Amino acid sequence: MELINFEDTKVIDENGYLTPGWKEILSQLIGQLQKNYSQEGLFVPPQTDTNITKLDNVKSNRALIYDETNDKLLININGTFKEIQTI
Amino acid sequence: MTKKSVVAQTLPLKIVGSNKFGRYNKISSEATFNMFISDGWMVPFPGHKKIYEVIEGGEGRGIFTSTRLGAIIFVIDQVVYTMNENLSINQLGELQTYSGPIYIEENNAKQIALCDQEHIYLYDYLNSTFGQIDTDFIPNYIDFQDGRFLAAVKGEPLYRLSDINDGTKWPTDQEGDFQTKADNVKAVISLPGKAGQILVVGGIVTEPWKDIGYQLFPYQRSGSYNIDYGVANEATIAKSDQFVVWLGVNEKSGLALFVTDGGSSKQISTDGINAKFGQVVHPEESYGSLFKKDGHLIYLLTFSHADDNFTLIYDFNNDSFYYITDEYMGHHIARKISFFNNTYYFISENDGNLYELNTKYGSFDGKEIPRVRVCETYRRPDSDPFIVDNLSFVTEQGQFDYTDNARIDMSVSRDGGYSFSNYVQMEMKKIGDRANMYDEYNLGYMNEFTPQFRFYGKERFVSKNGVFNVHQ
Repeated sequence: MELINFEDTKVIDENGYLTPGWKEILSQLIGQLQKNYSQEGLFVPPQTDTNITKLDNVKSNRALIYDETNDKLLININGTFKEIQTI
Repeated sequence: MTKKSVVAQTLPLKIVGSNKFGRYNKISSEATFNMFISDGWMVPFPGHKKIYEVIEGGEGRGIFTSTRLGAIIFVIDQVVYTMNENLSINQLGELQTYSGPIYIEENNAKQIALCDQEHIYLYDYLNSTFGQIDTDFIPNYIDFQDGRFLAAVKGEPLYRLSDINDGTKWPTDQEGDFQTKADNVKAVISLPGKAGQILVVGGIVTEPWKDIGYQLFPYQRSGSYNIDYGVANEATIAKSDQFVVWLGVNEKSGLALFVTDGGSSKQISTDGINAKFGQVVHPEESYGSLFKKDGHLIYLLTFSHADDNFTLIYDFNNDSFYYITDEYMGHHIARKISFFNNTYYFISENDGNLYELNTKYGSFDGKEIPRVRVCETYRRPDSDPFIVDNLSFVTEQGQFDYTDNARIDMSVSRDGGYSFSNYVQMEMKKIGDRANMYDEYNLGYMNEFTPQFRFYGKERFVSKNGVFNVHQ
């Protein structure tokens, strides 16, 4: 999931409508939220195991991530990713 | 046949003005050379003086002020120098290349990086070392943001980041790429006045990116917009205050001057300026610099090839263009300007000298500055001819002990600025004689009236709008 950047540009045009830039920002933001947080489930962000190795540090503490290389659900506790085991 | 009555009119004489020339002289030939507008008066663009002749016949390539080092770094030919506050000059080291622009930036770890579009060199003034850095890419441009150096990769759609506070390391996974058009990255610019924002500039497109702070790669491209123009020559990119300015171009459009504050971009060049750009033969031999002089934020753009040979400045305060020149009316010699020691220094592509640019200098290192004002053309709406009885305007006089035949010459065009008459001269009044009027009488019969004034002398000229009287 990639949330769009905030842009410091004009929000409303002379007729009171959103400017094209802000239409795009809100459209992409809503699209990403709908795609990842829906009635069909909350989607955990995926990463390759190579990237997960790079993220395996204290900055990622509390991060929930899906290892798409090995199909594992991971959570970072105190700087280390640990697999969440299923029954 | 209707008999016309004699009508006398007093009309404004626009001594104070900028380059408003049109595509053709008939549209407008209005132009200003080596002067600019300040508080509604026409004042001189600063002169300069040679401070140090570093290498006779060399090429000034880049200049940078390091406030932490308390010195300027500048490059003449292949040699890197520093000059401290006592104007003491030291040689730091040598580059592999001998010509072309140099881009210089500094990080927070007392490292100053220089890029000659072949290599990156690092001056570490904490450890007093200078040397070339081994990289697995060819850098085209360098800048700094959020602890990292940013480098455009030459000939690739990529840019790279150094490690935080370590310009010697450029990890292979710290790489961003163009996403909106197939293009090579020519420059990466950190946006002044905008935290964490950069512009990734190519040949036909510019993408805004922002430092989100991600671990894998900190920057994320703006998903909502990009600027559909790249840069014709990365040496024309300059930034200051909250602006980035560059000579733009894309696959469908010719040269035009663009400015952005990161939120939006706009074209600032006018029809006449764009027509002038349309005649440029060698945009690859151009460069730009931004500096703030006496509160005026000024962008200087030079086309230095002999086939082009002109310099424009754009004053952000007045949204106005002017020409500045050398003493022969060719391009101005400043390549990059830097503020240091409460004054301005520049290096020149023309020679290996270090110059000071300052309002206190009324000449170009002792040579007279050609200051010219071509006023707008007056025509009657019905194109009927008229007689110009006289003109007058206020100009500062009696302020200096002129020793150099200081004078104002005036000539008149009667064909819309294509050709001008011979000159009539008015010598400047000597010191203490403060009569402040310039006037001329009996200027003739015409249906297009374009006066031109040339201000000769090595002291300042300060002039205000005037009037001219006509009758039919």
